Amino acid sequence: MKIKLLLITLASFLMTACGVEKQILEDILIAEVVGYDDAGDKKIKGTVVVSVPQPGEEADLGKEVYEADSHDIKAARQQENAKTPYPIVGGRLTVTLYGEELASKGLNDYVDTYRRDPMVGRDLYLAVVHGKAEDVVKMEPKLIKTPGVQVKELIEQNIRTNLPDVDLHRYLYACHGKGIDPVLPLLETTGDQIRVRGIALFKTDRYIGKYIPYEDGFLYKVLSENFKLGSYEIKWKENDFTDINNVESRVHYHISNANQDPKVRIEVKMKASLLEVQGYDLGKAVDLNKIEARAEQVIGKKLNEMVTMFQENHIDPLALGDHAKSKTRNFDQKHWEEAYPDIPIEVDLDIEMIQTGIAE
Amino acid sequence: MEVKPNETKQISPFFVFFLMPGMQIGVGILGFERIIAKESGQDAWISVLISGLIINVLLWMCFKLLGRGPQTLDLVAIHKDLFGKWVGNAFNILFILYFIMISIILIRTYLEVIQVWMFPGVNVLMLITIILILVYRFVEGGFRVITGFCIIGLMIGSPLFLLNYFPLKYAHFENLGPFLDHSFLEIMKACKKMTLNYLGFELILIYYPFIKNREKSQKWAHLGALFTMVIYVVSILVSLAYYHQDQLKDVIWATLTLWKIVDLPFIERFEYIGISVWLFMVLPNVCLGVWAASRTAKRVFGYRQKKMLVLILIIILVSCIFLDNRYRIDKFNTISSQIGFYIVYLYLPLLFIWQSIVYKFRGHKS
Repeated sequence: MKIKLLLITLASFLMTACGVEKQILEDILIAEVVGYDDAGDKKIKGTVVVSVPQPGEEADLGKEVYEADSHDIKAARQQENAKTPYPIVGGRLTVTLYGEELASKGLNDYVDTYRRDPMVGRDLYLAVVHGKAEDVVKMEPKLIKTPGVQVKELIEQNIRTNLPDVDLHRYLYACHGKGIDPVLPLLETTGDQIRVRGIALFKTDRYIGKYIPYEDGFLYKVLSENFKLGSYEIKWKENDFTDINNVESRVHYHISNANQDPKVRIEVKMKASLLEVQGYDLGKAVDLNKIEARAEQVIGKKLNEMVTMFQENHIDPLALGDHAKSKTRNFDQKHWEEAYPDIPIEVDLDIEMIQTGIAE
Repeated sequence: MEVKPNETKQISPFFVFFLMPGMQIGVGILGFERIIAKESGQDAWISVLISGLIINVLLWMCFKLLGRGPQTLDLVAIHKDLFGKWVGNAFNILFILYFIMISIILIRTYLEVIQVWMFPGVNVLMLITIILILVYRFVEGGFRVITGFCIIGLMIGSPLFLLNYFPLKYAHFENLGPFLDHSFLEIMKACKKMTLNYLGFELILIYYPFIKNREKSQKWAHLGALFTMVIYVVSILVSLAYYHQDQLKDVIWATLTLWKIVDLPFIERFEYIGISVWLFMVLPNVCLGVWAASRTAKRVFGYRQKKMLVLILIIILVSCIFLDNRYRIDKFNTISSQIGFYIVYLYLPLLFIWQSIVYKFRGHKS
């Protein structure tokens, strides 16, 4: 009996490994940021930043940029391998960038591999680059010592205030779901820096060429999600501005009669604080009310313009169609899509100033 | 006809609570959401709830089948009692094949997950052999050992249910509306598809004689089945909120893909740990299935259980080799789901009714 047990144990040990491909950290190149551009002739150009481990204690991670042309993403990876000493692996990918031109042709084919590949995490950020993705990818390793960090942190930092929270999962959610259209951050290079240009608007998976400018990103966030943080500048007169700080903003969608004659009311409640003001006495209640009313008027107008712009372009980044579906029995998707551009959408904004800082 | 295992081989009635989810929760939970939601969309969780309750009714039937005769019976004895030796044995052999089939599905689907998610180049034959050697050791140890393993497996696996917390940040609970927007037929269709995930409770028909103070075990069995139901309902609720319905249609392993969102400072891909730990949930399943098959085979053919066990393991090994791509595995899963459905929803109630009629004629007093 004991001998039998021993044999079984031995046999189990002999069978370990099981033909699994080993990946040792020093023998692979970890892709950090990838960019894809349209290279004409149905080809795409992939550019990738990889970190190259250096020997020695406290050595900086080296970084290297590789490029390749191909018809699809996996083949591009293969082409890049022709130039690299070790295989490139995508398990730690943090940001994938798409050039404007490629994005306007539709991203489905180029996101599919990230959706399918179990190696890729769901916290991967996608972004569109105004111009060529290649430029941002090449700029990236120059800015900061650790590769892959710059663009990721740039997006992450701005998600708190001016960019919608979009990672791979949320993009797929909006792209595959009916009644929602995705949005992605729009980046650009200015001089020797990478900058967020705004929010790129999509129709299903196609970039429509329009975007919300960076400053108005805050307004989009107000319309689309509950969040804290962020600020917006209101112009009173020439050379006279006030900055409104968002403390907490909540949004509710009221959709009625979606199957026949839809009506939408978007209710935004914002608690705000003022930290910089010129020409008003904040101690007096009248003036505070005045500022509130003025801010509601200015921001409300902007929000209405934004919603109208969405309707004119037949896109639905606010997921109104999806909200309508979840509140309507036997929802008629087709009718909604036809009616969408002409639906009366009312934005109901309520700003409450709760703080005026530590000075009177 | 009385079946009486030695008392040293029996378990306390309380442990039936662990044996129920131990057999019911297997690989199905890793990806059942897509199939159910395809039929009844946002009302999928209602289907999961309903079929969970139906399973409890069927479980009650099983206990009636076992308990209302004058002696302690198991499935083999019931078959012989009701249909005579030859027809009864034919049914028994069908059940042996059915238990083997369940075991094959469990092992093969789990290995498919490993192949797709972790190691595409893994040597399947070797991995199956290792698993089957483990199964052999456990089943050889007897029913008590398997029960213990079920409890350990459930304890090791249950922390994984806490992972449902992470997707909540992404959850759109309005996805669950509008409530009951699907027809009765659609919801029932989804119930039917859900059956495969609840299969395993019928093993009580085999291991019933191994329970001490059997009358007390029924309560625990129902509680166990309800526990399984709660876990399935929570899983589908979280998945429906996390995915868009149109998106869920393309996600083969919804629960596993959901683990991808888990973001801990010390680990980037949590699903690798999840898949590895899941072996502790799958292995007790396989052990119970194989044990039930070998036990039934022993009772039918009269050979030693160990011999039957080896034969069954070889059958499993060979079948796993033939199931070598996604298409075949999927087809096999669908067919077994059908068979399981008819056995549980059609055969068990018929057997129940037939037994009632026969006992009435014989004049048994229950």
